[in-house]
Amino acid sequence: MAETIISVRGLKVYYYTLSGVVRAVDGVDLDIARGEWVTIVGESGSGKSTLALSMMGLVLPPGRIVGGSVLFDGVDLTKLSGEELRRLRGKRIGVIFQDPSAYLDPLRTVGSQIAEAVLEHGVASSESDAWRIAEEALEIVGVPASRARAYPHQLSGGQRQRVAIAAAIALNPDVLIADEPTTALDVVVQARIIELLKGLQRRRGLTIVMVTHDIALAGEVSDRIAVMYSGRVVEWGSAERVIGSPLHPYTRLLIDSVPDLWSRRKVRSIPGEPPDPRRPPSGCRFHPRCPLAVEECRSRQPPRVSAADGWAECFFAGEAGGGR
Amino acid sequence: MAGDLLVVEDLRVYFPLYRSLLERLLGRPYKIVRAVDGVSFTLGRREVLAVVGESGSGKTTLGKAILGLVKPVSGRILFDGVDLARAKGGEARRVRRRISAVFQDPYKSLDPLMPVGEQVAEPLLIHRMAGRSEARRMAMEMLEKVGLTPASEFYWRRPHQLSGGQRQRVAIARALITQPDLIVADEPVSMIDVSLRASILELLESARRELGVSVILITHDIATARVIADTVAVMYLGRIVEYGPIDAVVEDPRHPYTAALVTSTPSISRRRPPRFPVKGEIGDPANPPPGCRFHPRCPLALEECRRVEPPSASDSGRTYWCLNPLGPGGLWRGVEA
Amino acid sequence: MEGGLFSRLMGVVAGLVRGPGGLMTATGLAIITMFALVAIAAPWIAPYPPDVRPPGAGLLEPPSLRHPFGTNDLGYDVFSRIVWGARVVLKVVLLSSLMSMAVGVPLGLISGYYGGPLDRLLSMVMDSLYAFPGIIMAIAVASVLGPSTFNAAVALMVVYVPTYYRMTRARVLELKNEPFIEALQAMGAPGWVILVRHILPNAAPTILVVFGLASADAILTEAGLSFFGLVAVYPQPDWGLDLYYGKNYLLDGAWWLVFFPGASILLLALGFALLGEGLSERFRVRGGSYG
Ligand SMILES: Nc1ncnc2c1ncn2[C@@H]1O[C@H](COP(=O)(O)OP(=O)(O)OP(=O)(O)O)[C@@H](O)[C@H]1O
Ligand SMILES: Nc1ncnc2c1ncn2[C@@H]1O[C@H](COP(=O)(O)OP(=O)(O)OP(=O)(O)O)[C@@H](O)[C@H]1O
Ligand SMILES: [Mg+2]
Ligand SMILES: [Mg+2]
Repeated sequence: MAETIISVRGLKVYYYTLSGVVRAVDGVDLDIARGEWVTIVGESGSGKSTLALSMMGLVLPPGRIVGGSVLFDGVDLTKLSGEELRRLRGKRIGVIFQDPSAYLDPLRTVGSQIAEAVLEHGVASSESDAWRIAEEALEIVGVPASRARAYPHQLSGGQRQRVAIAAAIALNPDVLIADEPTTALDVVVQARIIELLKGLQRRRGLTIVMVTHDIALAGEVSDRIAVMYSGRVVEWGSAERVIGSPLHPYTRLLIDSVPDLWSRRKVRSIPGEPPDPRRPPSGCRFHPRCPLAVEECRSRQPPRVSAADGWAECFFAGEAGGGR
Repeated sequence: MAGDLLVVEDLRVYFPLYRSLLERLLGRPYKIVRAVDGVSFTLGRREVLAVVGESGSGKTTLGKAILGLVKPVSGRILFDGVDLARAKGGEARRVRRRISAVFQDPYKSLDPLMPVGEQVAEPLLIHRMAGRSEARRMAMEMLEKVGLTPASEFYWRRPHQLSGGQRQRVAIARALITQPDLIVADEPVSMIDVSLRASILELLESARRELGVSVILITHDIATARVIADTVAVMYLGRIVEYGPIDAVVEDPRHPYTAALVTSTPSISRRRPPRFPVKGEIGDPANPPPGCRFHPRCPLALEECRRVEPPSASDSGRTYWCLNPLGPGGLWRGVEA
Repeated sequence: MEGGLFSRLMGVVAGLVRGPGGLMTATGLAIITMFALVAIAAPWIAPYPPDVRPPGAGLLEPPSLRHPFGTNDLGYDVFSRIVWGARVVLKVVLLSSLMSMAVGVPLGLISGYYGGPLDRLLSMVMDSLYAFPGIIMAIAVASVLGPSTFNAAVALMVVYVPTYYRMTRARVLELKNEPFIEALQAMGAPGWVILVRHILPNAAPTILVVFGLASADAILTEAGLSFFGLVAVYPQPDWGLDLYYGKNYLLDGAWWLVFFPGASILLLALGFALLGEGLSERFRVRGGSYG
């Protein structure tokens, strides 16, 4: 396997809120290889965004990293100062979010915003260089360079997301973190943005960490998938294997619960409700909703059972019950 | 047709677009958004019709027009033979109570202060279909039916004490309690946790099976639509571009936009057609292009598509509006971009 | 149902006092309650009649154990006058607030919900009323009606109706766009059902906040009215009136004649203002839909 670029070890990120401690990420280990596309899937509130953003050392208050480490190219991000982190971000790790308007300044042209970031991180030395790089980046993402002088509100939602991607890749980062980059977009536009990202991954060797709740999208585009449930990664492996023969009952039920346009199988909801992250169930956190649960699941955290290319946290992971 | 529950004929809903002060001073004319621009279809009893299409294509506006929440500028909506725009007084009320709605956001479509059971009972009181205690009893039963048990406990809860999925069940209970003939459901699952969506769809499906209601399911996700719909109307910039049995339309579409839509939908199935390529970003309903509205993005567009509005054509049960449609099985052969 | 009215009321109060802005709400409520108790129990609290010179009392006596707030130029006990005066101000202000609410809130509901020409007309009238300085308008109305507590309340009502109207209308405009109102319209609910059963309860917190803030303002305006003798006639006990007569002796060093009535006015106004601010804090924090 290729060189590891991000290595998450025993990571715990908790939010200290008035109504209790939210264990958003509660003991996660992952190794992400350079140049691969990893997708984190899971239900709302399972901790996907928190995990993805902590991979670039970004934890928003009242959140705190309470344990574990995040190694980026061998450097422990949890030990860096704010200034060191800031330099690393943008330059080596880019990020895009669901709503690009949230971080595009409505009063400045999109080109000048990209150029400014390019100058600030020392990628270009002169203003004209920076502007040229900005225009190139826009061309790469399929926005005509002439649109560099447009203001955000003059662009469509899909174009704004392209601008956000352009801003992220203009600095030529190693890793791009994409938190639900296409959730707000139409499927036809989504398909084109995903194709764009896929091209960047292939041609530039960009490592992509994407967050989505759409397991079909994850299956389509990723090399590897991390399935999150209530703050833990419960299954990890190649996209093909996780989708084709899931080890964890949650993964299987999740796949069975979402309709797929091209297979006319029946869909069934997972019984029960997602847990309250302030009071996660004991033992295996999925046990209250799991059809396979036995007494042991209630009391003990299940071991990590390895498979050919990953693992799952389930007492039954190795057996037929977990797979299909 | 006599047996149809709902007939929509050439419906148009326009909105005036906001003009800035400067534009007003300069005397620029009102711009209008043609949100729904000439839509016709029929809906049979017990039929589930999915309305799918791009964001901004007018799906929600179509639903609101049927619910009487926006006024069409022209066209007719006949419900069981009654023209909804013409019906007055008692007749209007009798017809209205046979049409119910379920909205997208279960966090906002319920009164935050009122116990949810009272909200389920409310339509009965509004339409004087039951007295207070009778309404309460029926609401309890309905809560039970949608799976909120024990109903006597859920009845007194406020919306914020329920999860999103439970709130949507309340909304469906409220829609069903008047025993309507038609439910208009606008994106009923898009804000629900993925793992719980199927059960909400199942509720709608069982309403059709057991109570015989027809459903208009508005959704941007055609995979969701295919779970429960019989027919589908694919909208693009205020118009229906293709209409027919959902299996036929999905598996073997004629209109290029439908082809783009179905092949862009993420899927983990092995058996799936190649992506149908389209250009450009989503259309702007304030400035629809002349001719076929899809032509600027269409890989199959002909010269005349720029000028001629395509007439309707029919082919084995489906209707489409396209001058250069895909042939049978064309979806699976792919197109050179 | 669950418990008596009193225990339910206490439950609501406890909830308000614990939430955000709770300290302000609690302090405000405590001040108001204190004055209310004083007003109710005036005959038992006041050591002397307010408008009779007690035997042995001197004129313009400074505060002492016998006369904690001193005596005035006629030898009346200032403390007793303050105690009895609380009745007047509370009566006028509460009556006027309730009347303003009774007029302003329904008009705001109807105007905001139905819109149209009626809304434009009402908004215009209310805006022009609102543009008048409150005290001047109150004096104008009260002078026409003549001095009495009821007339003063009517004058104050005219001043504060636009405040209730505008705030209610603004809240209705917000609520009108909420999907749950649209859902009710879709099910064919008549306008009055939507207004009374859904919009009014959801607007209630806003109205309560306005009640606190407008009442605080009304206390000051009321003091102005009574200062000009438009509420009570001497020797009836009345804070503003005492202020008026007391000011003549300020140069003689009789500070207690203005200090105690003035401080009472300010303290009571502060009580209502704190209540209003505390409530607004509380409800803003809980978000637009108070969910
Ligand atoms: N700033 C914050 N303050 C308090 N709690 C937070 C904060 N951000 C997230 N949380 C909580 O942490 C948990 C995980 O949140 P996170 O946003 O990582 O989930 P997610 O899987 O990305 O969900 P979604 O699909 O809704 O985006 C949730 O329960 C959430 O409520
Ligand atoms: N009240 C309104 N005033 C002005 N324009 C409106 C109004 N409601 C909708 N529109 C416009 O009409 C068009 C169609 O909107 P509509 O909400 O019906 O689309 P939709 O297909 O439901 O889209 P989505 O998938 O995003 O919900 C859009 O361009 C929208 O901006
Ligand atoms: Mg998230
Ligand atoms: Mg919509």
